[in-house]
Amino acid sequence: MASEELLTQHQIELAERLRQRANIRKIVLKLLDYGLLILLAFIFLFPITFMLVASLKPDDRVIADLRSVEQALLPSISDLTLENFAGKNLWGGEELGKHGCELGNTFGSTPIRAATDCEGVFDRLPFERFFFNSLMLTIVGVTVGIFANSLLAYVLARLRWTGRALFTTLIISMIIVPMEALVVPMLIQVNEMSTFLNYLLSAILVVLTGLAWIVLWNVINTSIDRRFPTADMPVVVQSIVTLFFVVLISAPLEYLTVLVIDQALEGGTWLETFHVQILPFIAEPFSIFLFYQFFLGIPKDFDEAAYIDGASRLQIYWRIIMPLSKPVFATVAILKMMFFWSFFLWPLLVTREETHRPLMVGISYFRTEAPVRWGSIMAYATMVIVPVLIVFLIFQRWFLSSMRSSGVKG
Amino acid sequence: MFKKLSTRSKNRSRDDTPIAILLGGPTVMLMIVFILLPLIGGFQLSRTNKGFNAQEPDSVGWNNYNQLLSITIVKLPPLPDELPERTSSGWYSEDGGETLSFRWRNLDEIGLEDYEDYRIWERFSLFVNDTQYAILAKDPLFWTALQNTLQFVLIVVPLNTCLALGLALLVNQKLRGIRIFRTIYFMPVVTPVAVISVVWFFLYNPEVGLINEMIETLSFGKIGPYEWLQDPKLAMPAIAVMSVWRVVGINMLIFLAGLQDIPDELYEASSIDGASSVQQFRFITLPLLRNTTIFVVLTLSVASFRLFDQVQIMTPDGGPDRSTATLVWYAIRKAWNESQVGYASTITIAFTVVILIIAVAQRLIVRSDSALEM
Repeated sequence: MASEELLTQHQIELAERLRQRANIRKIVLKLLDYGLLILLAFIFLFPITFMLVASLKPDDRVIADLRSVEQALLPSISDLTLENFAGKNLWGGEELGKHGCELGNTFGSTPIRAATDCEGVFDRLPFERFFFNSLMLTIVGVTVGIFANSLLAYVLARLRWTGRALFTTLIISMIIVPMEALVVPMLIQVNEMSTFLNYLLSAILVVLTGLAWIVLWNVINTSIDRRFPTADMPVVVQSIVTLFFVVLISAPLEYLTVLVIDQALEGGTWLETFHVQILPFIAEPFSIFLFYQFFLGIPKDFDEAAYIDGASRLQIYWRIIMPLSKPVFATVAILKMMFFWSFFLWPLLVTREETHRPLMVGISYFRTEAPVRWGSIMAYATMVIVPVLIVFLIFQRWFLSSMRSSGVKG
Repeated sequence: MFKKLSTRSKNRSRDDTPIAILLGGPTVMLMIVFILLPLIGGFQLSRTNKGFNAQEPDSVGWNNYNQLLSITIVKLPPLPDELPERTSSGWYSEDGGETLSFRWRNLDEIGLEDYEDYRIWERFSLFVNDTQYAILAKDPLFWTALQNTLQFVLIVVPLNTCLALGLALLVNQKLRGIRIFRTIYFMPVVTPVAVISVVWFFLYNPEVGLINEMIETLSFGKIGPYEWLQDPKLAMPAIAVMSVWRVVGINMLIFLAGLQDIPDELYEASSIDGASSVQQFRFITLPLLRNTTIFVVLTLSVASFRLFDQVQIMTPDGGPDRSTATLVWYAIRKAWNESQVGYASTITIAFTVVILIIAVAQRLIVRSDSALEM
């Protein structure tokens, strides 16, 4: 009896030690795990961090601080300044920066010999203009794009007509064609747009606007009815309110239509405009595909029920398909927003003046004159990237799921 | 009687053609005007000598293609036994002993008059038994651009795929706060290429760039500063590394989705049977990720071929020794800087053909139909 107990005691101690060792091993592995994750996080974050920090330093300190990694990334608070954003003409002011722009100072590789040396291109860049342009392009492009592409996807997924299968295959096969393959011929096409095409495109946009109005009218009317039931509002007032909102919400589309009609009436080249940067990229096979896939997944019973109740196809589109498709609308909205905001190649080719140039092209100016004002450049970069980052952090979930379904732009 | 009624209403083939045309017509027309027309126009342009001006172009038939694609390999004649004497300033000419400045001999001087439109492609040289072979091409820069683009793709695709898979595995763990890391690894994706290229341009600066600084700090000064964007051998890899940094997040998510599709029971069952994690990875994870991997590799390849933005910002002239000239860069250069739109269209067509080949390869390789669906 006694010997049995002793054995068990020994075994218990052994088991206890083994368990402790296993626990330690688990903890060590976990630490290594987190260590690796943190190291990778540093690698992924340091360029952005550097940009942010450098934008808050005056130019000469940006260079000087690069002597050591810590100083570059973790500056001392006393050095921080907002002058790159405020004082140095990012907002179109005239004063020269106080730090680092004194005569005789040398940073980068060129000494400053005259006051005009400090007025690099970046001081004369119309940042607000660029920002406004980018914003314009993005808003119009995204809203019109969502509407046009989802409509076509609805036609492909839900309506019945001859040749539907063939058409769908054709459109989906167009996904392969990259934008870069079309850029060179489009340059000529857009520079020498024929009158016929001008009017055709105007007609297309007018039809699109009309459709948007019908759809919006329906929706807004029903939502007003829901909020103010029964006869609280005389019909005329309700119509006016509806009309107001219809015109307001479809403003981007209306603006684009007006631009193109204007262009058709004036003739001439499409270069140096907004519509040349937007219109060619409204209809996009991949977005259509995403909508199409999603619409296929919505059960047809809803459609059938509404159809029997007398709804028109367009009404079915708005009343049934749209509310159920919020995820795919968010996905496409995000993809198109990223596309238009970061578009570089085409705007570079079709705008040479600053009136319609977007932010992306503006930043390529940094090469054109020395001395290079790194502080200002980083400030510019920050102002372009930080809004996107903030939007991303807020709408993370949508972003991640949309990017997952989109593949890649290398 | 009821049956007949219901079949009648269903088979009353709702022909929605009119409304289909109305609703879908505008978008379809937009695609015809801005996708189909340029495709056809590009091909037509490539057979002309159109410049970026208002003049009517002339048709040049297939000359552009001839100019772009002509390539051949020749055996160079051996060096003459007696080379003219070289002085400090150059070669003596052969008659009279006058001093001339040094120059490469033209092709007709070494007996290759047949190839007068060609130039030697300087990236290639092959010695077999003391005979030198050279590649001659009518447009060496095109082949350089093609090679550069291929090099970029061949660096980016494996690196990106492996890293993405690794990150996906890391991020798939059930650790606390893992979602924060996932977001961080994804963050570079949302930065616009043009702008982040400027930041990286600064980071790659040989004297003051942070990358060299970090390497110096980590290696205690042993590993010298590199001229990332100025060295012909390093420029393209440098751009490749930046591109991988920016894009790996998306592929990480794709792999993550693929990983999460693998049922846990497979892992549980195999570990009961005594499988190690490495074995689990080899025999469960990898095979079941096959379609995902193919999808990633092929979309990444097509996307990488389109490299332009980073190159234009970081090395607008095509880089040291044209080492970062890519196909798209070359086409734009010809069209916009040199106003040779016809020729640029030819380059574009060549580029499109390459892309189509890759895309078709994807269709053929993938077995299941659900490759496009994620």
